This record gives sequence, C-alpha cells and structure tokens, in this order.
Amino acid sequence: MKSKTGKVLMSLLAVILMVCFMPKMTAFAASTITGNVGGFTVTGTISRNSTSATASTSFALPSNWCSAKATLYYQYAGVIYYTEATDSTTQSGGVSATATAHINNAAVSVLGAKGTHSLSYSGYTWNDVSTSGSNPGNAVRPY
Amino acid sequence: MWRKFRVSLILLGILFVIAGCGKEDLGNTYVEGMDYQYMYKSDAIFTSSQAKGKNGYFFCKDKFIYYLEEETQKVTPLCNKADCLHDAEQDKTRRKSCNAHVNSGPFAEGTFIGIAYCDGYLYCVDIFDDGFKGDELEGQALYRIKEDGSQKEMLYQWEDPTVKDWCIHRNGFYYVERFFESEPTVKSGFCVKYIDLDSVVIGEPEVIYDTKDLDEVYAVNNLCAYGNYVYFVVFGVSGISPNEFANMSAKEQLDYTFYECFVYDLQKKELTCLEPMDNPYMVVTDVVFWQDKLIWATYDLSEQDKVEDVYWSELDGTNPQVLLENMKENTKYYSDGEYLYCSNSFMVEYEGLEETPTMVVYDKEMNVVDTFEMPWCWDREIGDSSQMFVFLQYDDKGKWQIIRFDKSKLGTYNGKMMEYDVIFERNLVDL
Repeated sequence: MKSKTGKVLMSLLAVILMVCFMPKMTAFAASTITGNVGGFTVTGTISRNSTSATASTSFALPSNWCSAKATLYYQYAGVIYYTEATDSTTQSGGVSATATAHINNAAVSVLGAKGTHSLSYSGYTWNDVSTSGSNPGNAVRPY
Repeated sequence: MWRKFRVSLILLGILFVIAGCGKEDLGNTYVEGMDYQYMYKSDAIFTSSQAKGKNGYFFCKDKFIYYLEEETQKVTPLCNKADCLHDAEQDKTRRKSCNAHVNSGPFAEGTFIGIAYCDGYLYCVDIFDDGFKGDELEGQALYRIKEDGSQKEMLYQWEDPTVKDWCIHRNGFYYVERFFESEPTVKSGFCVKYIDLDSVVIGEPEVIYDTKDLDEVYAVNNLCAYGNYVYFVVFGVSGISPNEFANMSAKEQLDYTFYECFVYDLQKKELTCLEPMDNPYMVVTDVVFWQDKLIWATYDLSEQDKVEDVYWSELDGTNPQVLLENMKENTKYYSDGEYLYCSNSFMVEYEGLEETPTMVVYDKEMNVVDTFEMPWCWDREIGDSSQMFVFLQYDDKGKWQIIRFDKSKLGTYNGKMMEYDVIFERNLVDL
C-alpha cells in the first residue's frame, strides 16, 4: 500500500514529467481591464501569441452597442507594421464582441497588441484600451 | 458673332485656369511651404503629427491640433472662434465644433492619421462626427484648416475608413486606400491615388498604383514625396495562395515575399522600383531625402544582425553610390535638410540593444558634427534645422508634454545627454 507521502511524490513527479515533455507552446500574454457602466461591470481583454491577437469586450446585460478591436503590432525588415480586426454586436441577455487579428508570415516578430473596447448601455458609454507587450502607439516613454 | 466668340474664349481661358492646366514644375528640390515636409515624416504606422507653417509649428496630440507661434512662443489650439473653449470644453458635443478638434483616440487609430501643411493651409484626414454610424466606424474626410484657425472645411470624403496613409505635395493629395474584393475570393488590397487640390471642383481621384496582382498585401506605406517624385513601399505575397504561404517556413516564404519601394515620376507619370545591388533579398524599406538626393534604407531579408553599406542616389533611383559604410542594420536615418542623423533608437526599443538611445549627426561633407544621447527612444519627426519637438507621453491615460530640443547646441554635446525644455503640457482628454 502506498503511503500518503508516496502519493504526493508520485503526483509531483507526474507534474514535472508533464511540464518537461509537453509540446512547446507559445506563451499567451494577456491583459484585462474592467469598467463600470451604469453600476455594472464591463470587461475588456487582449491576448496575443506569435501570430495573432484577440480582443474581447463582455458585459452581463443586453447592451445597445458592444465592440472590440484587436490590433497586432509586428516587426518585419526593421519596420513596424500592424494588422487589425473589429467585431461589434448588439445582443439580448448578455453581450460580448470578439475580434482576432492575424499575421500569417513566419518571419515577423510580434511586438505587442492592443484591444480597443466600447460599450453602450442604457444611456451610458464606456471606452477603454487594453494593451499587451510593446505598443508603438505610445511612441515615447521615459527611458 | 465676334463678341460671342470672345466671351467663349475668355470662358475657356478661365476654365483652363480653374482646371489647373499647366501646373508649374517646381523642380527636383525642396520648396518650403509647398512641398511634402520630409523632416516631419513619422514612421511606417503613423502619419506625421507635426508640421511647419509660415510663422510657426503645428502639433496634433490627443484630440486637438495646437499651434506654436514662433514669435511669441505661445502654444494654442488652432481655432480662433471667440466663443470656443477649445480643449478646456467639457461638453463633448460643443468640443467638436472647435476648429482644432479632431477625432483621434484609440478607435480612430489608423483612421485619424496625421496633419500636413501646404500653401497656407493645414490638412488632416479625420473621421466624421463621433466616429460611429450605427454599429460601424464612420467614414473619413479630408479637412483643410486656414493657417490662422479661422476656417475649417471638408474637401473630400470616403464612405468607409479606408485611407491608411497620405501626404500632401505641391497641392497634390496622395493617399493609400484599402479596398475589399469579393470575386473570385474575398481579399483586401490597396491602391495609391491622387487628388489635385488646385482644382476648384475636386474630381475623381486618379489611380497611381494598385495591388490587384498580389495574392496578399500586408501594407502599402511610407508614402512620401520630393521634387517630381512620389515614393511608397509595398509588402505582400506574390505567386502563391495565402494558405500555402502560411504553411511554409520563413526561409521558404522568402521567395514569395513581395517587398518593393516604388518611385512615381510626376512628370512622366511612370512607376519604377528601387533595385538594390547584387542581392535579390535586399529590400528598400524607406527613403530619406538629403541634398536633393535619395538615401536608401535597406534591409537584407536573408540575414540578420549584420552591418551594411548605406547608399544614396539621384531622386529617381539612378546612380547609387555608397554614402556610409558598415552601418548596423536597423540604424534609422533622418534628415532635416541641414544635417543627417543616424539613430539606434529602434534597436534599443524593439531589439533589446542595451545602449542609451543615441544620435550621430553628420554635416553635408559627411563630417560627424556631434553625437548626443536621448532620454527616450524617438524614431519619428526630426524637425527642421533649428529645433526638434518630441511628444512625451507619461502613461496611457495621463499627462503628455511637448519637448523642444534646440539644435543650435549641436556640436557641443560630444556624446552627452541632449538638453531640452518643456514647452507645453496637458492631461489627456477623456476617451
């Protein structure tokens, strides 16, 4: 019969083996912002990997207007480029908009991403920006 | 009968003048006040946010255009309406009636794109109203504002936000427009177009170039002009479907990557490409104007982390000669007409180079005039030969400043940190 310590050690070993031998995946960097619209919370998220960025805006109630724009910044040949995608919707019973911007070029190096979020509910509006990684839009920062 | 004929002749003459026939050739040099202001060129993403007028400078930051009067050194919003509070106005609807107001901001990025000065007017491309029509972004418009802020008029409009880059040169408006095709497959493309601003009635834009022969287009950018030439860079995929391309390695993709810097001759109305020497993978990513010549910013797509020679040529790309030898790839070059600047800012900001942002300054005989460090990375407008302005953003939602770097001190730094003063400060207007 295995002891309790043995079980713990076995579990630990399993976790270590999983971490060591699982296929290598590109890390997803994400950031989330929240806001208050008429007393209710709205959430904006941006996440990115080596080929795409996804922005989403979500709200628990039906809204007049909900949108998300994803902007993916990348470098190629020493030049900064961006690609973007937008989604907008109006739904009853909770609402969310999700947009994914892609770049299908193996030689680019992704620098960062920006999510641009907007929500309109019952006469209130909310606009905000979430960022992940380096955003060339903020051209100057204290060095 | 003769009287009728004379009247017809006069009318015909007037029509010819109105139509702008026989536009004056201003030659292959820089004409102050009329030409594209290359010293205020920004980067590949952002069109310039700075311009120089007859007696001062224009800046566009946050949601307003500001004017720095050179004589008084005072910065004010570019609006002379007596009853306007300009950027102090709290009411968003009233704020929009200010001549200095623009719809920039996060949603407008890529839609509101910069300012430019030409022949007594400041131009900007902006979105309509508050930026939304129903559930979509509103279209764009080209606006013209009198230099004193007394009048703002819309010159041209687009139904959708399709203008991605633009410049104004000798009263010509050149722009990159994005379009979507649904047949045979859904794909987007770009074209470069021209509108004559001299005409009283602005007609249909003239197409200079379009990307319909490419299989996928990532960008058409770095649109700029000098003398009788307009330049732009096209980056895309050619000779293979986007899906097949996406499944290739970076090395395999090289043979299908389309990367060209085009030169458009305004007199001959002809397009050519700049052809870097002896290396099929060498591309021209940007151009810099100096001493009525063209400096080529090149990049070798097949190799990385290397040094290269920098070439310059005639404005049409002929007769390329080595200007600088063994320069680090991704050094960025700027010209203010007087000096040539070489910066490592890009490498520091985006490639992890552990150095302080530094500029090396050359005079027209290629002597190093000075080297100075900068407290921030700045890869945008270099300014004219007397001063450079930098927008300093403290964080995404807080204070911003206009910093002035006095170029009369060039020659005294010898590698030290540049000196600067803050000439203007504001908090960001709410989104």
